[in-house]
Amino acid sequence: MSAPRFDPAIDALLVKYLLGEATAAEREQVTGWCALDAANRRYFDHFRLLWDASRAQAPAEPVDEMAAWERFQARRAEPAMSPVRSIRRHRSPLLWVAAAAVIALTATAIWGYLNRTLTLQSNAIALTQTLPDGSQVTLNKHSSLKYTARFDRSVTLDGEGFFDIRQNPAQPFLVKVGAATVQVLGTSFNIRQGDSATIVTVETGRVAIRVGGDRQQEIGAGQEVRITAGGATIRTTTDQLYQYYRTRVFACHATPLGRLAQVLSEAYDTPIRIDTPGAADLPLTATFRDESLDQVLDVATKTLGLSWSRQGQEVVIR
Amino acid sequence: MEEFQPGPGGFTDEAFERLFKSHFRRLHAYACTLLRDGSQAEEMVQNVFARLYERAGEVRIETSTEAYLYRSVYHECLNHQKHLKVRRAYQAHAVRQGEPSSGGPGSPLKELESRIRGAMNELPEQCRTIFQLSRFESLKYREIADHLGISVKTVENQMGKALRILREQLIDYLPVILIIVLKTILYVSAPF
Repeated sequence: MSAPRFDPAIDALLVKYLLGEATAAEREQVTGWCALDAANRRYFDHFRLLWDASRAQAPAEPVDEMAAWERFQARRAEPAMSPVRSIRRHRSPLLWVAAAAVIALTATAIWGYLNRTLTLQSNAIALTQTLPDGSQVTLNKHSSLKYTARFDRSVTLDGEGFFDIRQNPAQPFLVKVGAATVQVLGTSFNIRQGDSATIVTVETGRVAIRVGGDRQQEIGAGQEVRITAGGATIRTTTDQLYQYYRTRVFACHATPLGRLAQVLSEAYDTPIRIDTPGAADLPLTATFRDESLDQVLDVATKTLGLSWSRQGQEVVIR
Repeated sequence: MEEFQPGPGGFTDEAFERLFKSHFRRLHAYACTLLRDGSQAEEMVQNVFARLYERAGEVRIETSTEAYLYRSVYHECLNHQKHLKVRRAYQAHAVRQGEPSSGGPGSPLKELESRIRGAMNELPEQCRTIFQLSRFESLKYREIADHLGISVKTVENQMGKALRILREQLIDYLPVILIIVLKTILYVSAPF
């Protein structure tokens, strides 16, 4: 679409006309300019359209300035808002010593305050939280995450958590879990701390893992590392069941029944025993979304030609 | 309108209260059109007044007080928005990752409104303030000039600039605007 040559004087004149601020001579000038060329006319119409359409942006809620003033005064009464007054007279040496002491104490207190440890704790249900740097963590049941209030992208995990880390090449994100440290730039991964082993499963990106004083190892998407007292071993991720507490989905792809039973037992706080020899190794392919334990057990056992029953607190599959 | 200049020793509480009460509503309306959120807008204006009060001795107001207040509110809102944008971008990202299948485009009207808002917020500070006073406070050029301590000529030029920038920003959307404005006019002027 062709537009008239850039001319601030014309722009000013058109708006003046539009708002009824133009003199008779100026109005004539605008009419003449518009008649000169269809493009000019269209340009003026655009101005009018925009002026009309922008009215919808008017603020909806008028505010009561008296009430606002009350709020302002209440805010000013807070100690943090009080004006600082300077000390001018009687500058004795003692005063400097006192001032230095106060500064030192304050600095220590502030440093302590900034470094105080914050704990994120999940209880009977999983918990999702955004950390101060924008990274997101989902803690599985009965897990905790500790970090300092000033947040230096270094956290300590106890239990199991899924991390979706905000990218920041200048400051890597560190997760300490037991003796291991997991270092990331921007990625998502799961860490599970069990009794005998800690498993780090990477979903996207790459992470570097260092156990104690060992050499750092890197793993990428679709891989997991199993850390035990004996060292760290890398393998390909076998299933997506580790995601269940975040996604509420149990996805099995030729997953051994025993593995599913283990995850279900944890998810539903119910011990599950497999009584038939060899049944724990039977592969199952199915996806369960937001279903009850009974429903999952029904489908899983029927598929494999087995059955299940409750014996007290326990579920038995045979 | 009363001029207000904090002297080297600050100002009296009554003078400050007068200043606050006489400007709060307009500044709040200004912050509202920038942020689209009444309570956040209030916080921004409160911040500006709190700072002015605290630093009364230090602040030297070169132009009119009103121009100073608008400028401060404008920057306060923009900073706030920048901060929000970073947060929202992340949240949007997280949601997308969580459920890749969901989420379609918004309605064209909402889209247009946000385009106009976005284009208005692209205007430079002085230009934005003058546009605000003319469009939403319905002030005459002369009144705007008096409030902001500038010449009527400057108001004229800045208003021309405002519409030019809006046009450049929204040129692709003008046909949509045409349809919506026409509909509004028909609706408003329809006898039944």
